[in-house]
Amino acid sequence: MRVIRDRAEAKWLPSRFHFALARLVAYVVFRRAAPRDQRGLVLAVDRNQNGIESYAASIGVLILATCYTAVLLGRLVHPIAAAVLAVPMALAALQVPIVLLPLTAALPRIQRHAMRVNSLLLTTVLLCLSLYFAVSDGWVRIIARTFFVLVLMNVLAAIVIWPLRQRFAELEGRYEGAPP
Amino acid sequence: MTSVVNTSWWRRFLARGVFWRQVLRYAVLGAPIWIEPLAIGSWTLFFLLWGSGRRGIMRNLSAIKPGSLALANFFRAYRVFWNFAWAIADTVRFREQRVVPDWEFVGIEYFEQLRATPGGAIILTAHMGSYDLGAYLFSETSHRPLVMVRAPEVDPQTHDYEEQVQENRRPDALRIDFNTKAMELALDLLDALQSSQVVAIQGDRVTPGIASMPVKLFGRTTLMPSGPFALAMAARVPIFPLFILRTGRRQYRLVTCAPIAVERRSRQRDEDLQAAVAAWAEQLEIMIRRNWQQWFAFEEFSPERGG
Repeated sequence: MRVIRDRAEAKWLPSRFHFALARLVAYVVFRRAAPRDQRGLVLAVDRNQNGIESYAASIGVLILATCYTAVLLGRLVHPIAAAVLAVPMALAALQVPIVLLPLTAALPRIQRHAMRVNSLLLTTVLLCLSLYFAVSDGWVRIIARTFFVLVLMNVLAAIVIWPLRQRFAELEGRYEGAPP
Repeated sequence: MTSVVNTSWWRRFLARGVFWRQVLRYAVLGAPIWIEPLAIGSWTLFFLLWGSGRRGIMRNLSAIKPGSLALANFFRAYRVFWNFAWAIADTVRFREQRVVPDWEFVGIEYFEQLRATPGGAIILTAHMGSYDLGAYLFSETSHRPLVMVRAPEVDPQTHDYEEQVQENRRPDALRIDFNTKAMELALDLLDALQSSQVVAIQGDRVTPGIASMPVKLFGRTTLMPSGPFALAMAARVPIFPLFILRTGRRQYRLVTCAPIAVERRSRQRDEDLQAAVAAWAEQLEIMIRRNWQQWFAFEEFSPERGG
């Protein structure tokens, strides 16, 4: 893994972000940031490095999962009980892949790509549920449609940054020569 | 007399059992990054159920923050577990995927002095942040051989698991020694120091069979290991207090303090050692007071209770 030393502005390098929307925002911030020397700083260049993005995505997924769980539970129990149970049940549901993974010990190929498999599974489930709720009645359709708006914004951001990928590489190249 | 090791199947599910290490590894390898905070947050809540650990943290906090309410310390205990969960997850992620966190050096002049010291040196640290991660990074960046001393795991299955993982993943420049046989270890470490290697020891806790000295910490008498200081005196090497603090998601701060020289100044060797131990305790107290949420001491550090 590459690291960059002593350059505080490098924390906004797009390569340190995962989602296209975050990369676009980071690129804008990076271009406006003044070079700043900070002795003793070591920054890793990894697409999952940024904490703000990670927490934002997690909180968003939790809100989504909790709302969907509350609505589904509300069909079985009292709405107040559904609201109370929704958060722990949503948290548990999101972590089902972690628990199920050891059971795939007999399927080495799945284990090797565990993170991708789990990510694909969870994303597919969330998309399907969002599609279902986006066309349904009730307050939850606002949540589902907001999710699709964010997905669309991310797709548009990906289109915008696609021609900039060479530029991103050049930005990283400014800090070339820093051994890990 | 031989001791019987209890290998009951349910032991693996106890708080220090191997099952949780395996679950952590599976989670790091399998959980999508975007649910990592959720997983850590919810599993931290689960570990809050570990009564003895939680009580140990809360009692330590009552000493660190005199007059603090038990309810407030309960929530602070969650924060300690939260930081611990992230630290061990980061360590596993580094071992398995070589993912490096961001680092910030404080006291870099002392760190460079440590790296440039021609002979051996001792790094004295505490159970804060990620000892393992710091040791791995030091050994890979400083190009100096590092001997990391650690207490063996309480659970034998966990010990075997960690030993196997360390053996498979550690860099060649890093050696790990367990402080189970004090005399043999002392000779090994002395030899390492005289070979200009760096020895890293956690000096905020005493395990059974380890030489110790009483010292005041947060106004309470506790025992600190005296071995590192005796070693420094014998080998005539400096001790560098060094702390690894977690400052955020994949963000760590490495604080290096001015070296402690352990010199023979009187005929009373114990007095000279006591002075050095007291200097270390003073430094440790400052660091813990500022970063209590990073001190992963799950047992009471002193049998004394405050008023």
